[in-house]
Amino acid sequence: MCLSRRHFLSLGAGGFAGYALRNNFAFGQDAVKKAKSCIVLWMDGGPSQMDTFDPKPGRPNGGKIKGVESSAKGVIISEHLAKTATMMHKGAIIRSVTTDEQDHGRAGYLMHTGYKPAAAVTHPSFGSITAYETKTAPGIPGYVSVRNSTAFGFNTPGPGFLGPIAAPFVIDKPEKPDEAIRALGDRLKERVDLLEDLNKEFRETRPNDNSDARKAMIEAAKSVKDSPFAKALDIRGEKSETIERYVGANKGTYVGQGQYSGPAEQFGLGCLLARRLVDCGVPFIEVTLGGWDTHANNYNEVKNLCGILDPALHAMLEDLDKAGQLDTTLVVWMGEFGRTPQLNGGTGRDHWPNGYSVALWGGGIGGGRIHGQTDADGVKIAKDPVTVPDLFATMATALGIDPKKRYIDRDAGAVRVTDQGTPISALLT
Amino acid sequence: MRSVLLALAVLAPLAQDPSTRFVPSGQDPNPIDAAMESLWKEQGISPATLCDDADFLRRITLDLVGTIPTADEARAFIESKDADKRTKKIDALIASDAFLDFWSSRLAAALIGFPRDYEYNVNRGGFQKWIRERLADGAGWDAIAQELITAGGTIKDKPETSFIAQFLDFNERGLRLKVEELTGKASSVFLGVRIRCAQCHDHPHDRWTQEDFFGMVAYFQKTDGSGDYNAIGVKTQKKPVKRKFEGWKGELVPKFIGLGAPESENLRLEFAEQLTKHDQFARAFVNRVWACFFGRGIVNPYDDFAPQFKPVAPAALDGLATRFRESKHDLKWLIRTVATSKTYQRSSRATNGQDAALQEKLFARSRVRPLTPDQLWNAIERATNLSKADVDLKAIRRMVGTDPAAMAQSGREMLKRWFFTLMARTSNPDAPAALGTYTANVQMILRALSVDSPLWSGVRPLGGGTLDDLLLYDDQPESVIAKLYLSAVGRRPTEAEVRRCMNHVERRKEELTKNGKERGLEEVFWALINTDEFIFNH
Repeated sequence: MCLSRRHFLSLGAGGFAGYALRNNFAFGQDAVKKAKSCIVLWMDGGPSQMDTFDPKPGRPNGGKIKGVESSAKGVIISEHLAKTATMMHKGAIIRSVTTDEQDHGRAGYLMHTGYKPAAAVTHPSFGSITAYETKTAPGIPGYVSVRNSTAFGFNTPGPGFLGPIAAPFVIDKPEKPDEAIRALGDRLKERVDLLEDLNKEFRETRPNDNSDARKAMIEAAKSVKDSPFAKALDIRGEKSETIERYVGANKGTYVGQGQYSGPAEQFGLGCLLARRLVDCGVPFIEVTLGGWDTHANNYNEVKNLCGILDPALHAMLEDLDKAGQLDTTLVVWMGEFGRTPQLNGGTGRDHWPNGYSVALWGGGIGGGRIHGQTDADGVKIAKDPVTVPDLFATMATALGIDPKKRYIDRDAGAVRVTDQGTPISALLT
Repeated sequence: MRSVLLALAVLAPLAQDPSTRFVPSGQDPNPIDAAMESLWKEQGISPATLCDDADFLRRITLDLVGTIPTADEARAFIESKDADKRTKKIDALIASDAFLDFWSSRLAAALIGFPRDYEYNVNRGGFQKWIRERLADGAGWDAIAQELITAGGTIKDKPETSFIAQFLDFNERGLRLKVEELTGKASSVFLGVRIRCAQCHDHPHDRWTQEDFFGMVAYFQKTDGSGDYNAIGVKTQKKPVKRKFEGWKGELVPKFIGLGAPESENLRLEFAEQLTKHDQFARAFVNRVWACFFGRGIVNPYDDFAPQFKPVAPAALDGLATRFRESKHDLKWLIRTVATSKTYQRSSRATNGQDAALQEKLFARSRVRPLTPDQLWNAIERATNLSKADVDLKAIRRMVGTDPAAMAQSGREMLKRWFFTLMARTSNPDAPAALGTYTANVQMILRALSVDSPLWSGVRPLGGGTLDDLLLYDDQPESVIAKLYLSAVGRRPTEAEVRRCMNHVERRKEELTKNGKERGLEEVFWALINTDEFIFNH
């Protein structure tokens, strides 16, 4: 079914076939070792670059935050990310991302799709594009989105014009990730048997491709129950030491079965899940951590958030690395935008799209690198500004997806994987 | 009895009332059937029989008003001996408010796209209302097109400006109208010509050149945005607006494809007049409406009349387009003509000895096609009486998660929003690549297979839904099953089907000491709502 739909879209491309072919050919020649999966850690609210990956220790607006030497030569990040610092030899930081969007919703759309909100077309999120471009085993979703109860929850962009086939599999409660599987109950087989029994005559007398697609879909869903995907979602067997490493010291509300609910647990468990999902062949996972909209009390808020982020990110990178999977997994840390280098009256930082940081690790990315630079006070971009389409073109290239590939969505003309971005070759292996 | 009725329906002439209907002089009342029948003859196939009354009623209700018939409507229609009942039903539905609601929303989506999250540049509610009013007034598709192309004012006061305003965007210098996109849209939606493809280079497989494209763009050279983020609108400047175009450095000289240069300085009015005069104008709309009724256009993709996409039934398309033009581009006439045709009323059942795929391709057999998310929501709501059923608010809140817009709404609205997110309603189900083709994902199916989902609140034996109502007055499972079939799929079950369902109910009764019959019936009802017969239009 996936194939026939793709086939249809490519038919829709009609006269562009020749053009696309040339493009793909040129792209294929450049192809090197690529990531097979991608984990995006979505910092909902817009994380402060000055207090995380682009610290300005000693400057008046840099606050009390000290820098910490990382495992990459000359790369200094915030002291609150001390554990993550030990993995920077596997990662890279872009310190010069720039846009003109500073509304959470619009910028969130941009940083999920690589496009600004536009007329007449709803763009697919990058997760949906990855799902659409990657073949998975039956019953394994192409895109899993792990939410966080403290996130704004603004319309996380979905599959857009790629349709339901590329929609994310949403996990609202990371502390009970297999809820959707368990909700199938113990009578699934009997119920599906009855359903298929009632379908029989219809399908026999009215042969058609849509019924075939539906049948295949139900078969796939039925097989999910005992699939590697369902096993990956069932985290009850994880050792408590492992969970401690991801979740850190903070505990939220006890929700039974040894699980707690709260942003720390949700994000930590989300990262643990992401690692397990990569293992079972899910090509794209997004894990959200909310609370980064630090208009007030910035230093304490960021410190607390880093207390959640640091152990989870570090444990995930370390486990992927130990399993030899980091080289084939692209990990990206980002949010809607950054935050003002200058503090506001309430010791907070406001929205700042004019030069903020995105960090990347693993597959396709050269370790220990810094791209772009802000000036001493973080106010201006001093070197190599990077647009959001450039960032998305870099991510796509790392994953072996042609950033210039065209999808056709009739009215807006041809829509590409990215909005004419150029991959940052300095970051790619 | 049933077969007699069926025979009657087959023989019944599809009568029209000439006093109220447009019938072009000296021609057969239905321009579709003769053309299709000679096509089938030429291709050596015979068509499927006409569909039975139950199939007909469900199909026509979905296509005209976007929902399924109630159990009572289905029963009454099947039992009616009126030889004219199909035509009467079509006329009653076309005359209903629900028809205007459904088709104005469908046309609005065709013109300004499906709901997006950032709609500062369209007034969706006002726009749909405007189309609804124009249709109610009897405005033709040509008048509607002309008004959209020439509209001016703010989207608030003149919602029809939304068609142009949807291509307004902000950049550092303020409002900017993307005239290339506007031209591309006007051309694809009104002419079925995807000329935008020629913006960057002459199209390798199509007839259009860059010059053709920018000749069309030139008509909008004085059109501009007005106002600010909060009072956005469209206006015409005295002089051309300075714009740069990707891939084009030439002059902007207005020239309409296939027609030529304008006669006056009023460029948008000239565009509108040439647009509606163009050969493709009626053909494109007829083909679009056809696709909505058949799950596939005569030309496919339905908005791309490129040389490589040949019409499968050219005579029917041309005949219908000519008559549609003569009808003064009357949407109701067109829809009535399609709906009353025998071609539309063919069964989706395969015929012995016939090539089932070829039959379907040539519209000799009805295509089994998915309901749109809107149709499916309406169908579930109606079949299970969901709006009356007790829905577990807490469970819905858990599903909706942290979506703040959803949290503010009532249980039903929240559930609906969740459902549409799940169904990926952001992708236009009417888009050429999606229309008529079923796509799904694992999570959609898992949610459907989970019996305790709040979506199935109306399926439960307690809690105010359809099954609860039936059990109140009826304790015979056989007759409850028959009524569930009427509610869900608009027909009575066959004996074999009753037996299958009863076997299931009996098994549940043996397994459970308490409420076995009710639990069994609940699962039967749930299964019915998930059958192909329910989720497809057939």
